[in-house]
Amino acid sequence: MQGKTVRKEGAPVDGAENVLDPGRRSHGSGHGETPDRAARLGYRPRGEETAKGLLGAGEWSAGRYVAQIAFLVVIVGGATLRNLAAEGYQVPFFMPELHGICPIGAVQSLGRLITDAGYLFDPSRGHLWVLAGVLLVSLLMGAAFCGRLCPLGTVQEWIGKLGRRLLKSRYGRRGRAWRGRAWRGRAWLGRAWLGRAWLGRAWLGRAWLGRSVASRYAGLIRYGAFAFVLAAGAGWIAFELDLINPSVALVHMWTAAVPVTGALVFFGVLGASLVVERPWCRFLCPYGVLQTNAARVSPWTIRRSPAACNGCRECDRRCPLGVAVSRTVAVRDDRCTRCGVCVAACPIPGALSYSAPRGRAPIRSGLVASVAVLVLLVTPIVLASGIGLYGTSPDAQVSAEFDPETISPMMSLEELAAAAGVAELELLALLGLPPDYDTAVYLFDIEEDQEHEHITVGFIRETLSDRLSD
Amino acid sequence: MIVRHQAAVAGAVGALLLLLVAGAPAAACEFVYTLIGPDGEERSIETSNTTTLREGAAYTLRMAYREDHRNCNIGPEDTLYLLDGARWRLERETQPLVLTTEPAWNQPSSRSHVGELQFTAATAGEWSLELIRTCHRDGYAGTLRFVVEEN
Ligand code: SF4
Ligand code: SF4
Repeated sequence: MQGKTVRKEGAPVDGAENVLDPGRRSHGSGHGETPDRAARLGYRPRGEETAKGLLGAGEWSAGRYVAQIAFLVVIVGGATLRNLAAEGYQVPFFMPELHGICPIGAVQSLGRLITDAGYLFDPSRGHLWVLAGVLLVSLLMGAAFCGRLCPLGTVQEWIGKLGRRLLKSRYGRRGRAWRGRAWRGRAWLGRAWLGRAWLGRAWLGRAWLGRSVASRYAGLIRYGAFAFVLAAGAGWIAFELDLINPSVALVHMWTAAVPVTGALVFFGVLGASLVVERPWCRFLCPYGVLQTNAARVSPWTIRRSPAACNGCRECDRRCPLGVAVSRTVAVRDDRCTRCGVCVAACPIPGALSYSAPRGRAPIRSGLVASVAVLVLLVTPIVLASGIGLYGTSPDAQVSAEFDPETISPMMSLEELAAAAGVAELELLALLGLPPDYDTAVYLFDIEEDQEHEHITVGFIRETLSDRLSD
Repeated sequence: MIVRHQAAVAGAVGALLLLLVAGAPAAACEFVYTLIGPDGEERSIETSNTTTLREGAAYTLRMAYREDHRNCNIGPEDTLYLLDGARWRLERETQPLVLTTEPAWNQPSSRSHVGELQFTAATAGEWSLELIRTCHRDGYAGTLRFVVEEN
């Protein structure tokens, strides 16, 4: 029986079908038998302790939540402070602006690269290196960026948790079970279907989106979205993508930079998240197309050991995205975000792992998984920085060794004196300005004064150059 | 125990990498330039190249940029133009490239700006035109190089 249900690695898995397959009931044991079997086999049941840990889901989830919260704070907090910088707010050094995090912006950059190869070598363009990091994560660890770092994914997931609490059966397990009955036609004639489905349960929840034909093929919409964003990035389609970008709306929500349409898309996604798990990720995200395709070959994925598995299907029940973990030996489902919920939920140690082929190099905790994702994400950025392809500011004003050519017109005399390592009075004398001249004046403003018309930025650069060469 | 050890190492490595990335500044807004000659011919010009002009001829410089950071605090009108290090002033005959019309900007979409200015290549020689947008983020600084050839 077991052999019948184990699929080859990479074989398609349909979570909903699996969960509802009555034949599976005879496979292994029901949930109630799990502790007995585990005890007989001498395994320590972990389901209880993992489910009752921090935030209700154990260390696996805690390690993920920490990463999600931290990254959300870095991205949204950093953007907010940058937007407020004009009012004097400082942006802490640990809140860098990572443009390629945006699911539309990253694919847009890729489109731009098609028509402008030089884009890759422009140090002021960070998007592509962030995208490279996300792809590296996907190639090695699957779509773990979505599950651990993506801010848009995080807010959808949280709203989804709220939805589960509010809608209960319409969102959760019972909704899925009910959906199966309806689909099989048992309830077509009965009150159960007519009463519940039409009155909202089916149409509002995963019952509809998760089960219908629309759901099966809705993931393909992402490919359309991907092609559209790529074409807009390449300039083949004239469209302002910010108008529909929920990520911009999330990150810049409290500012005038967010178009009304973008805000509507964002709130639409949040609203849909109340009834469907990660609707943007599953049905629309163009970044997801890149990640899920790269994830198909990732060595680290969720792996099930058929020898240890007792067939309780707790993993299937716990998976928030409806992946049928118990029907595969290695999860390759596009929906899987490698959240590890199934691993944490499995009562049989060793039956499920987030590991390389043959269970090697298992990732044993949520925090380790999160940090591994972070390390892979930043690796291309760090390497590109090392060879000068990322992060070289185009208007570096003052180099460590003072170069007069880097003098910016927007520097004040005071700043110039400090940068050049000369006393203010000395600088004034050098430029032929009176000793009581206001050193807070910007360099380009000095020539505004008719008396000092000749003291242009060019003159200042030349004078300091001469002085240095003396 | 293994988990704790793994987690501690992972935490330290993660923090270190975040610090490294944090040192990298953000992307700047980026200008695209087009030069329209006296015969109406358009050519794209880049900051890395030198552009040849004819002495006495009138040109239009088209500038386009996109607000990469969104919420730009400085408008396109606040772009600073320095010709050989001095402010490029309207009708200033003593400057080698004489600015004949002030830059006029329009906004084709929410974050894109396109502007045009006209000038005459008055004096033969090599000249540099700096365009600078300074803001608390990265701003922009680009230098166009022109060689004005004698007729
Ligand atoms: S992998 Fe674990 S949770 Fe899933 S069916 Fe097997 S024993 Fe149950
Ligand atoms: S299969 Fe496991 S790791 Fe993947 S989404 Fe479901 S619970 Fe998370």
